[in-house]
Amino acid sequence: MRRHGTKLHGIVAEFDSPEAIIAAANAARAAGYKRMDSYTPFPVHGLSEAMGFRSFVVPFTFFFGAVLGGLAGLALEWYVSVADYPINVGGKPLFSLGSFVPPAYECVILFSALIGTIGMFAFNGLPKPYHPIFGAPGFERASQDRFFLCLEADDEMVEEDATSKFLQGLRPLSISVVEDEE
Amino acid sequence: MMADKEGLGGHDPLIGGQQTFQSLDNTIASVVQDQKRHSNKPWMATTFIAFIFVNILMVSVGWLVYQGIGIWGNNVPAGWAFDIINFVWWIGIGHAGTLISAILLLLRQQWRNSINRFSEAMTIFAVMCAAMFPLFHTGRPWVAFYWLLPYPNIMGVWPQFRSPLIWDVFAVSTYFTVSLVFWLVGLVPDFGTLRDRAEKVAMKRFWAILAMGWRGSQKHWHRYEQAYLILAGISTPLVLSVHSIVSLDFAVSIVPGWNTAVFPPYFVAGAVFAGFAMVLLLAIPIRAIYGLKDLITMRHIDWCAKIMLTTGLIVFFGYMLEVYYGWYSGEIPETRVMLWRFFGPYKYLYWLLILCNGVIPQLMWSPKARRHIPTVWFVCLVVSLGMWLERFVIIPMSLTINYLPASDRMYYPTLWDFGMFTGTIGFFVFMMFLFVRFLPTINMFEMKDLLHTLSHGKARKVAVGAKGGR
Amino acid sequence: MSEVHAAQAPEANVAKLGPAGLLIGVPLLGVSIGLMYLAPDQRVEMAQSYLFGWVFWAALTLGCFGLTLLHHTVRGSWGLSILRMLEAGGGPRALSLMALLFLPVVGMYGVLYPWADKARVAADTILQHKSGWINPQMVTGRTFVLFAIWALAAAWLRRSSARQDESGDETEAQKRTNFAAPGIVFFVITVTLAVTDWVMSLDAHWYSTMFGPLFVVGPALGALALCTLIVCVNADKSPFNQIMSLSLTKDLGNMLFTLNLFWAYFNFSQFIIYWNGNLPTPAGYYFHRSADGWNFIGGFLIVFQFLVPFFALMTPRIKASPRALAWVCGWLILMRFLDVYYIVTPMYRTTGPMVHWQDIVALLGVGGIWLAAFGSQVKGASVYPVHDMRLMEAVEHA
Repeated sequence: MRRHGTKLHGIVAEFDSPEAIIAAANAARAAGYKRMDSYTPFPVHGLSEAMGFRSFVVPFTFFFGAVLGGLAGLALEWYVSVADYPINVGGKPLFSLGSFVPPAYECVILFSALIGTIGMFAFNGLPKPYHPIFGAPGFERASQDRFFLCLEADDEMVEEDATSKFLQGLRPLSISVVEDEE
Repeated sequence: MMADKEGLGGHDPLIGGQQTFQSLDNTIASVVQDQKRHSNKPWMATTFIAFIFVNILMVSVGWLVYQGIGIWGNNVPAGWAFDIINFVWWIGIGHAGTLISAILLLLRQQWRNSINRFSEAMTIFAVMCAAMFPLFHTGRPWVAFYWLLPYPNIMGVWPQFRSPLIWDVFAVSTYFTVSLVFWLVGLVPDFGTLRDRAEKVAMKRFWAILAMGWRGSQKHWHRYEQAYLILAGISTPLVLSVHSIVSLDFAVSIVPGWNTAVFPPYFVAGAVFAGFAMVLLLAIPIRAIYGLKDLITMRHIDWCAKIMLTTGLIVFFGYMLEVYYGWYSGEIPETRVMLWRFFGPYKYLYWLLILCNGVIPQLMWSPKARRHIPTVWFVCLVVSLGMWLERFVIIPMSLTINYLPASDRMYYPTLWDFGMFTGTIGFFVFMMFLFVRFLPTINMFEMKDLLHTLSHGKARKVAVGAKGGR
Repeated sequence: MSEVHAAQAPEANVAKLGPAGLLIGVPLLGVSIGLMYLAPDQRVEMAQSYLFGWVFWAALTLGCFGLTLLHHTVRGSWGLSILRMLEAGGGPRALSLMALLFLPVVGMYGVLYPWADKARVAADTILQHKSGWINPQMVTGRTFVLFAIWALAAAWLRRSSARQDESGDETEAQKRTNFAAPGIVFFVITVTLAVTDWVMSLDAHWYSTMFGPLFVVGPALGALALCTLIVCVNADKSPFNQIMSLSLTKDLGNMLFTLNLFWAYFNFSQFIIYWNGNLPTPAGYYFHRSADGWNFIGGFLIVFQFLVPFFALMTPRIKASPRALAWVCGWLILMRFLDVYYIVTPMYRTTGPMVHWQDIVALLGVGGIWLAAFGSQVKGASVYPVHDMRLMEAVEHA
């Protein structure tokens, strides 16, 4: 029985190889589980597909940053060199597009990298010091050599006994029930 | 768990020995977590000597700020000399770091995985060293920002965007920022591993803060990989642009010997050339001291040597172009510069440059020489010297001879010039050795990924991939 | 590999380009040379147009040859599918043909090149300064010697590759690598010297250290576009359908992307350096080319040779579809015509209508004959290197 003030976060199974966790994720999806996550020491190729997870928000964030950077760079150069402080240098036109390309280009890269990276962490919900999954026994090896599959409780199919039994069928190294603060 | 079992052309494996995920973590993380490993003599001795030079740097900078840049040897017509030579030299060294991690990631060259972290760190410290020179060349850097950075100031003036010097400010600051971001993004999952491996609570907390709660969720990895790949994608043109812009500092002016169209790609090649030399110069002793020979293998050294040879040839081609078109142009100032280089008072430096960058690197054609560590190390040392000489040949040697013979004047460096230069070398080595001691030198999660790929019957695929790129 | 599919697919006939080329090439080349030598009032115009046509195809030949060398040096799997086409385009036949077609230019030095005009040389100190190296005998000699060396090297590489097809001997590949790696060094240096003679010296004074690199990268882009076009158009025909895969079109697309990027980078570098330096001689190149309608061609090239293919080749969907990639390649080849036109023609034509009918005649005339050489050389060998082990790996890699 659950301690007072806690609720179920999910049922976690521990595996020892990338192949095993991909197979497990596929099996869980085939069994009808929809809300799941896995925790692995390195990005396992094919696991996102097995979990049915797709996301393209990060590339768009980078692209948005790039466009914003380019426009901001050119706007700055125009404002500085044409509108606010026009001076004749070497007889060159005030708006020297050729000369304005290099700084604008650097702005494209700077904005894209910063906005994209910050965006990536933000969409991942990081930094986040506490997460219930850290309570799973042996979870410190998720960053080393173990692969954890968590079927999350907000999936209505997840039900402590049945789900544990299902996971047992996938031959994990261990199974644990992870709880969250209410 | 060895790559290349069928031994395509007798290549060395990318990961040597019998490794598991656990043994990789142990090899890499223990360098950080078992601090006793650093009480060895080589680490102590190198760090101590480097620290002495850090002090020389601080004294040189202190005296410079107190006294003014008159303590340096540069004076009209050679307004640029050691400061800009060293700036270009350091920036160039930094570029190999980004290239190794970014371009090779894009080309899916998995041999990069064991040296990318190391070379990214090299980039960051090299750019720090580089930035010091132009910053202190302004004399009083704390009042120079109004023409370096575009911010509304009380004088109502703005930077001059038609000047390559401002392009340079944008390029170098962007380069530093993006390199730092790329490096930190790569470190976050490894901080997570260190957090989970740490035994003392204080250390656990320390790594936990740096790891930002990284928990290895596949959803996070998914976005993380997208971001990492795109960062690599935008870092690659960034490297090209940064050194191109550095070269434009010279090329868009009309100094004879500088107004040369091939400067941008030729500078970029030179940067990669010097950078790979520096990577090997540092990686060879460190892999010996820390027993990383299974991770930084002969194959890595062989590849780096080949890239050095290629870029070295491009650089040498650049010298030929300068000479040929210097003559072809038939313009007196251009021809004078060429003759000044060949036969002028600095001629020894020019011919030494040809020896260092043109002749000695040709040793790397021989596969045997590429696998003989002392030879490779020697060539790298020669190349580092050669690339420094190249900038000497380009900068003060072009400035000391100009359109009007009346304005020709010799340039001699002072002791303070050498003080600051050797000081930055000390600073660089000092920072690198601190990095080796306190942060994971090799990317742990990528090595585990590589190990997994190699050990699952995809060895052939990797071998093809490694050869398939350029 | 889908062998069932392979058996049913119709066979690609790349060699049929040959007769078609001959059909267009022979009459138009006849007209060009005839006008040059028999019609004095057409001579200058025709000679200039002929030089443009010749330079385009000679550069494309060298682009094919350069990529062959590059392929043998790095031995990337992307190159195997187009290797036979590269070998045909930059093969001994095409190279000897271009040497032969240089002969009409030799007869027209006087109308084309300032250094061949004795009166001009006598009045110009810079031309005198160069006259020991840039003069009719030296330029002719260099051109033919270089073509001979290139053709011999191409023949050797091709034979070695054919030997390997027959015997499956892997050591041949290593031999080619050992030959091609220093070969690239030689190639880049000699191409630089050659285009300086052929094109840069059309202007008495102008010089640029970027010119050689531009003529290495631009034609390589054209050559790769042509070969990719042929592979993609025949994607569902045998034998290309056996090697066609997502990773192949992606690799070829990425390579095109890279070369296009380098083309833009080199051009922008040259432009920004000379425009900012603003010295009369170097900047004079852009002075011509930014007026009298040439500026439209320049702007058009920035947008349509660089930006449009840049974004097209960045799109994964285009790189995944042979059809779409073929369109991009066709477009790139058209832009290559325009780019070479923008480099060569303003050297001697500063005003007047820009594209003359003679330009088209010469371009198609030389091109037709070039295609004939290309087609005949393709016919002689299997369309891709069958016995190369790495092709199998390349397919597996997909």
